[in-house]
Amino acid sequence: MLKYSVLIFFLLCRMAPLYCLEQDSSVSIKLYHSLTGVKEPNFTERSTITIHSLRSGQAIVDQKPLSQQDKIQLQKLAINNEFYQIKAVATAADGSKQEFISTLKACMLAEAELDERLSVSLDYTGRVIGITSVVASKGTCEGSSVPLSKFKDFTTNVYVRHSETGPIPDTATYIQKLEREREARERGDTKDNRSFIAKYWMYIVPVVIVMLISSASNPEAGGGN
Amino acid sequence: MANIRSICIITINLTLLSCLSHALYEDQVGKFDWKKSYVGKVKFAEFDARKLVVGTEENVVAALSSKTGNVLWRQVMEDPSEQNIELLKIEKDIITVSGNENLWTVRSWDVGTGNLITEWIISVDKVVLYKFDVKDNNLYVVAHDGSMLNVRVFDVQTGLVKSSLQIPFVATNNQCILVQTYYACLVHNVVNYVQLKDNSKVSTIPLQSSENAKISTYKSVTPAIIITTSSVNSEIVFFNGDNHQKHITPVMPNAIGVIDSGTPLIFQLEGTKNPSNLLIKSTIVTNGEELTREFEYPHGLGKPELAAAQCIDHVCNLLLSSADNALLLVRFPEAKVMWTREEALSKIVATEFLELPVSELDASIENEFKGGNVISMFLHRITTQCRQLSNLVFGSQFLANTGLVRDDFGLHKIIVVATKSGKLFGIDTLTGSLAWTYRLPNVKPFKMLDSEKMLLFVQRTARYAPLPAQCTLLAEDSITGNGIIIQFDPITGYSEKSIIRLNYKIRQALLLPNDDENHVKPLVVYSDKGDAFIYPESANTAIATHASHTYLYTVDVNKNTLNGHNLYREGENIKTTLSWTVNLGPSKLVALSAKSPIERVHSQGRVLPDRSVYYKYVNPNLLAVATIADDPIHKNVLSIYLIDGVTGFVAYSTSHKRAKGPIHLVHSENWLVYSFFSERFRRTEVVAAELYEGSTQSNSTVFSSLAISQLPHVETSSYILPAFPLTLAVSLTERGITNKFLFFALNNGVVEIPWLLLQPRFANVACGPEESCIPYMPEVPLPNEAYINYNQTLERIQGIAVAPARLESTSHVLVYGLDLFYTRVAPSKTFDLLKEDFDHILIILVLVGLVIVSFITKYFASQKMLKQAWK
Amino acid sequence: MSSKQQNRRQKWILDNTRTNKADLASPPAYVSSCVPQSHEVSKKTDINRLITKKSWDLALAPVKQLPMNLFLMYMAGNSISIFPIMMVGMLLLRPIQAIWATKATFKMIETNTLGQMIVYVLGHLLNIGLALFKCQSMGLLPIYSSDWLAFVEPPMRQEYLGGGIALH
Repeated sequence: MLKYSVLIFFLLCRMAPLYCLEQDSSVSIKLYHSLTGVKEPNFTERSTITIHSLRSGQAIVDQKPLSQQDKIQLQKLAINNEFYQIKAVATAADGSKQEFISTLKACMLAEAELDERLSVSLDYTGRVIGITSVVASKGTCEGSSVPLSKFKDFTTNVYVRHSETGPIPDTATYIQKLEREREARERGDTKDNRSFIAKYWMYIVPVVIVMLISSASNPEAGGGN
Repeated sequence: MANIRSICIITINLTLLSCLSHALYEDQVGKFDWKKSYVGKVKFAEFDARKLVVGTEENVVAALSSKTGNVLWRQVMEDPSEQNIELLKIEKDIITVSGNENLWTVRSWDVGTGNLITEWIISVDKVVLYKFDVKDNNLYVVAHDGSMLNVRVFDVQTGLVKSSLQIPFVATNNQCILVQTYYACLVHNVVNYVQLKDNSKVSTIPLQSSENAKISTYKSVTPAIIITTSSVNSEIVFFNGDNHQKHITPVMPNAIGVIDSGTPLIFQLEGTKNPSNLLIKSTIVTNGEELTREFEYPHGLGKPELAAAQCIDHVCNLLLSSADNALLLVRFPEAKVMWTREEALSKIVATEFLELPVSELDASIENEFKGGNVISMFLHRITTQCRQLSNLVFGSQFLANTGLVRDDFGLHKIIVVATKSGKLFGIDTLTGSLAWTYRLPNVKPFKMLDSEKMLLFVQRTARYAPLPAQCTLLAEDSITGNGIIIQFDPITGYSEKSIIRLNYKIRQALLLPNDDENHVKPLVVYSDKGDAFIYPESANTAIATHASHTYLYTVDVNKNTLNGHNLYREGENIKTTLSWTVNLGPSKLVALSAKSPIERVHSQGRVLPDRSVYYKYVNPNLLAVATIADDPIHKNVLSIYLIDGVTGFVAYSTSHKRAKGPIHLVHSENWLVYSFFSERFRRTEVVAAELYEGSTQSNSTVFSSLAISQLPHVETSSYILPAFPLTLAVSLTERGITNKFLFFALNNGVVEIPWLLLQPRFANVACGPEESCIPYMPEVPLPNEAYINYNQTLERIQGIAVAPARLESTSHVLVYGLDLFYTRVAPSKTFDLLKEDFDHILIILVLVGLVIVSFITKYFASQKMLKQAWK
Repeated sequence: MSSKQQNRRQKWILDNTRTNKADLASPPAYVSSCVPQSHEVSKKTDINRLITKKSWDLALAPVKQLPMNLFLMYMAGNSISIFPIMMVGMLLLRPIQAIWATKATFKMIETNTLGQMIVYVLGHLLNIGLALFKCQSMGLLPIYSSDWLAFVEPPMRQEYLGGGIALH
């Protein structure tokens, strides 16, 4: 029984000029997971992710629901501070398959209530170089017991991360800056033709205040006597 | 107003730029730096009066003084991977022929000064075996393609062809030599030879036994060859016209001939009953008279062979070259070793800087706590301190150490260096002298990307006296390819267990970060079959607690994949499980860099002008990987990836189109600097990328690679470097407070560039002297004062090793290649040291004077007040 | 000697309290019954009023100094050089010293001066506040996160990584 769960998520890629996939292609990823730990991994099917357009990064996740036994196994992994491993088989548009493995701490996954993020990294041609599953959190854990009720279904956000274009030395702005400075030197600087008061008010006003205060205190002293 | 403003700008720029200059004063030369020049493994050697001219495997021609062994002059030719010396002969000048398959360069050098006199090129189309020899100003070039000899005779000075011959000669190409005008080949069980002139016929020398027979040239006035039939038996055959004549008695395979006042002599080396002594035998050719001398062969050198000999008035100098690239000069009738040169240091494959132990006197204070009761501890302390006081007053008679003692600032260290020939050296940083050597027979380095390296780990430092320091070297056996391990004490060079040959090949090794009960960091060696072994075997406690937090990554260069493993403990063994994989695709891995494990980052963020902090993303588990892919449109594309080694998460990836190698990476703190050659603009570009977390720290107490809360922001900037870098390195200090300097090794030396110059500037933040920010300049300036090797030339730099000193402001830098150069670098100018001409005496005198004057004045003032009170 | 002195004193003292001349006629319109009490009362209230006035003067003195200090700080400027720093330092330290010496300053006033002491202390606190404001405009107050950056400890590393290129 397939259940279509949560679709499409944020794009992490920034503006278009920074990366430019020359040809857009699609990738289909089959995810398997091992609920028996990493020492003797036994991979079972978990979900299928289809990314129709790598440039836009939108993904459709087709997730199998978790059976009660799976949930119990996951809970056990989390209590024993073991690792949860996934195997991703990525099939590119031209049919080539690649296998990637990624490991998480089961207790982190349990504490996050099965909310994981899948990061699909591409190289400059659009080939998948790595698929990593991470849990967004600020710290790790060392085994935690989470009640079974918190284990619902996996929430997978897929982030397609493109390769950026490297920078080029910015000679144009530097040359312009030099030109401007040279011109400024040749032209002579700005004229300072504000009024006298405008230039020197900072020095006149305190003197005035001091005079007022001293005259205010003097008449008082004079009047007091 | 305008002029003032521009003057201000120029002065500010000048002051900023002048801060970049860190030149030395003339009297500071040699105070804290030293340089050693090497020539390489000797291939050809010829004596000439008081000089010894050598041609080495490093494609270097040099003249050494025969009395002291110092280099008088040295000429470095092309890179040995492309060209090699094939001939070195001294007639009036030194003639060398060097080259590779189809381009040969003939050069002649002046013996006295080493200046180049003439140079001309022989270029050929077919790649066949070439042999060269020089006789009477003629260069004979013989091309042998299996059935025909194509002989050309050139004039050595001008390169004009004098004559050309074709001689039919059938032989396989391996064992053929050219001796003056004779060409001889070993064919099955005979030696065929022919004289290089018209209408000469091929003559034969029959051999008794032909298994493992070898022929080589024999130096003498008349052309002769030496045929080696077994390891102790050879025959010398002299050629005369179309005939040959064998020498009567058999000689050792390594015999050389020399003329002593007209009489030709044969020198050979033989072993003696005493394994550390050697016998030199000199035989007069004509009457067979022998003269033997036994001498003590220096301990620690490899198997010797005679390279050259010279006799003047019955006093002979013999040059011996050993299997570990050392050179010795032995004077014959006295049988004394005059000098030794360790040429193995011209090919260094691993370096490590180590702290020295404290002096015994200081260490004995630590023994105080071993006493029983309070009285004995107290007495012990008093006696030790009295000794220290007398030591201070009377000088250091009580120091029992050999002089390898730590000094106050940690500037006296020992550098442990492993070389390609399998020899370990301990070098003192203050003087550059060799503290100890250790020879490892039959050992070769690993091949890693395009260089050769051995793995050297420091398992225990010298801080835990009386436990000795311990270092481990991992290398390969040169015959079987299995791994070898040697554990030794880096301060004395003593190894208790000597070399251990393993029965598996080493894939990688990892030093665990925590000590066990003996303060030794366990070393986990990962074999090619996937097993993990621990050295020392007894280190179980450290592993038990920390194994699950330790990760190992391996990079498969052929398949271009990276794999990460997690270690776990099963009973007594360590096992690994596969944790992540990354596949970099059909490209070629060219560089890999991880961060230095001893590095500390002091400031956790960068301060912006509005006084907020932009926190850095410091991930100590980050790996920088560079690959170059062939692309039909863009020719070469360089891709750089920053991959977390614990999760396999690709933090950043970027690509440069039309970029070519060589690629150099430097990875430190939260930034990465890489250099490449851009084919589009035909210039070397340097890119600096810095990673930041943002305005808030995600977790200020603990950093875990598994907990990713936000992706790092990357700021990049790119610069043009007006030179071709050979290697890159960054300075390291103990606490990470000092500014960082990047070292670029160029052709003529090493230049230091401050990191502030390359740091990516923020777009929306002003950059000027107030923010201690140098404005962006697209070209990296290379001023002459920034060369750390001031006026010394450093040839063929292969690597730069950097280590922190105990002083925060200083780092040690060792530049190695053909030469060895050590210096100390202070990027922020020794801010924690008093300047050298600090006038201690004047200040002390003034202080004492003022104190005395104040007491005197107090006395007089009190007197005066008393008198006043009485009035 | 003492009697001579006493005589000298007696020569010059107008001692109204000595009643050796027994019955002197009282001046005209002098009623010998009710006047002295009101004198004493008015004297007492006069003295009390004087005392309270004096103590309030004392208490309000620091507040009166505030405008002058304000002006002084304005003239000191925002640059960091020796005189502004000295002035700000004195402005900061003098109120503190004065607060410590509050009891001593109010010691000579015998009556209960709690209110005045509180106002006095508040006045000095205002001066301190002005000094702190001046520090902040000079940029010396460590209220930004960049000022505490040097004390931030580097985070401890949880996972350890090693390895390299597969040598076989």
